[in-house]
Amino acid sequence: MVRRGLAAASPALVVLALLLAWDLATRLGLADPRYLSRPVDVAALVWQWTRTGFILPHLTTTLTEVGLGYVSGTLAGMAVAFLFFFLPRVAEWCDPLVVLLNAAPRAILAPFAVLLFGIELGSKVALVCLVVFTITLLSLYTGLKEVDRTIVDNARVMGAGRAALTRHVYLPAALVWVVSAMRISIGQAFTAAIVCELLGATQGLGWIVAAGQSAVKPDWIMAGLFFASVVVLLVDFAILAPLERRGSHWRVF
Amino acid sequence: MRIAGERLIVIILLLLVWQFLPLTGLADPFFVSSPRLVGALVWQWAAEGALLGHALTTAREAFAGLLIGAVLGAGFGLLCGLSLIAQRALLPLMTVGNSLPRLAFAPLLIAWFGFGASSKIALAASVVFFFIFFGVYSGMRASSQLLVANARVMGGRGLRLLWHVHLPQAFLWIIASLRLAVGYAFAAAVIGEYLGADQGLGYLIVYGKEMLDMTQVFAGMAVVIAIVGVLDVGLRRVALVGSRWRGTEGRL
Repeated sequence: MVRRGLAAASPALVVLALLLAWDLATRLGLADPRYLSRPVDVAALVWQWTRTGFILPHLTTTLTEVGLGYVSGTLAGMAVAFLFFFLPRVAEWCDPLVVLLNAAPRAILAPFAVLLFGIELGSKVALVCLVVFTITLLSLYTGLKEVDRTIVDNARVMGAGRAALTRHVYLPAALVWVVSAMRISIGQAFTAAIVCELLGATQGLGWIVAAGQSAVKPDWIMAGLFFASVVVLLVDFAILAPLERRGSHWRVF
Repeated sequence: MRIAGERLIVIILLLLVWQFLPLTGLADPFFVSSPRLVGALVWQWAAEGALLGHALTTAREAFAGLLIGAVLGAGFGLLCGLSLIAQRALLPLMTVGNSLPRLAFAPLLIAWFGFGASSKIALAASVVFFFIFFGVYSGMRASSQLLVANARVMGGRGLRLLWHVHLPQAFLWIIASLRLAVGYAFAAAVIGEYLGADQGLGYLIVYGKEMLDMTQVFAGMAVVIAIVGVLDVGLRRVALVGSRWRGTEGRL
């Protein structure tokens, strides 16, 4: 009983030990708190931002950017994946482009986005959309190609045309892949938005971090990153993970 | 062969559209630049020798980060694969760490390690670490228990078991995660350079951004993507050669 409790608590113990080591390092003079800050200072700042509501507009800004880019990217990715699937010729032509899109992590395109679409919402939405689009396209296109031939043939024998096949076979199969792509892309979507904000923004979690960097305030950087991490983890584990489980448990394909 | 030809035509068409887009009045040449200008700038950098210097800076950061991250990731992956206690204590943390927006942590690492190469190496290592960790860990989890049991019966244990049974089976996973990790190591180096550096490809790109010089942004980006693309193709070859012993079954 005690052992099981200890095993369950051990990740928390590891985190606690790391925090203690950090705190001790700054107190014993091993690390300079001006650069490393202190856990207590960061926690105080997090609490202060929450209490005063300072964080709220920044949170909503980043969430709006990610939300808009995420939805548009997923829809565009689905559309192009179906296009590629039904017109294999087009897919073959576009293959080098897809490889190019996939070659490097898309977050490095942030300076582009900022130059082309400005430092407001537009550049972040565009970058997030591109990131999510690529992941959805690749995952769904691979998925569609793997739909069981037997099921497709059976549906055909029973008289299903292309429309009926899409509605009753491909879309349900695609849903599984789309949801798993959504799970993969959420982290990258937030990364893209925040990196883009770091390079030019007027608001948002990345802006806080950038402001902390230029003012040499490590506690700002850390508190900003703390909020960013909490948001990502909440969306990932509280919303998308259950969705993925629900979306795939009926899976027969 | 026919497909290759058609693809070439598509690429040439796109380049032509890019080149002549400003003539139609749909786009401002200031923002879209042109393939001719970008090519000329890359050529000029190469001729001046600046390209090699900046590319080497970025590549050095990326590979140092890759090496450190891969060694640490493989170490912890092995630990979690072999020991139940380590797995219980560390796996939840790794899962959480894996979903953090790690590239966004660049400013923090720059605050800690300064504007030099070490902050980019640290960023690249922190990104690579999780890829390799999960590559090694899943590889060991996926290794056939039958083979492990057989090897045990024949007296295999400890390092020999690891070397002859676990590692060959985890190889594909490790290569697959390495392929992902290479791209991310370069991205980490480049993004680190965006946020504070005085050399490297990311510095070139962000300098172009500050000067509002689209041509330079395109040129720097093209070089980064070319390097990552070549490495990706190379590692795919390695993965194919390395998986021959398996036959066709189990290829990724």
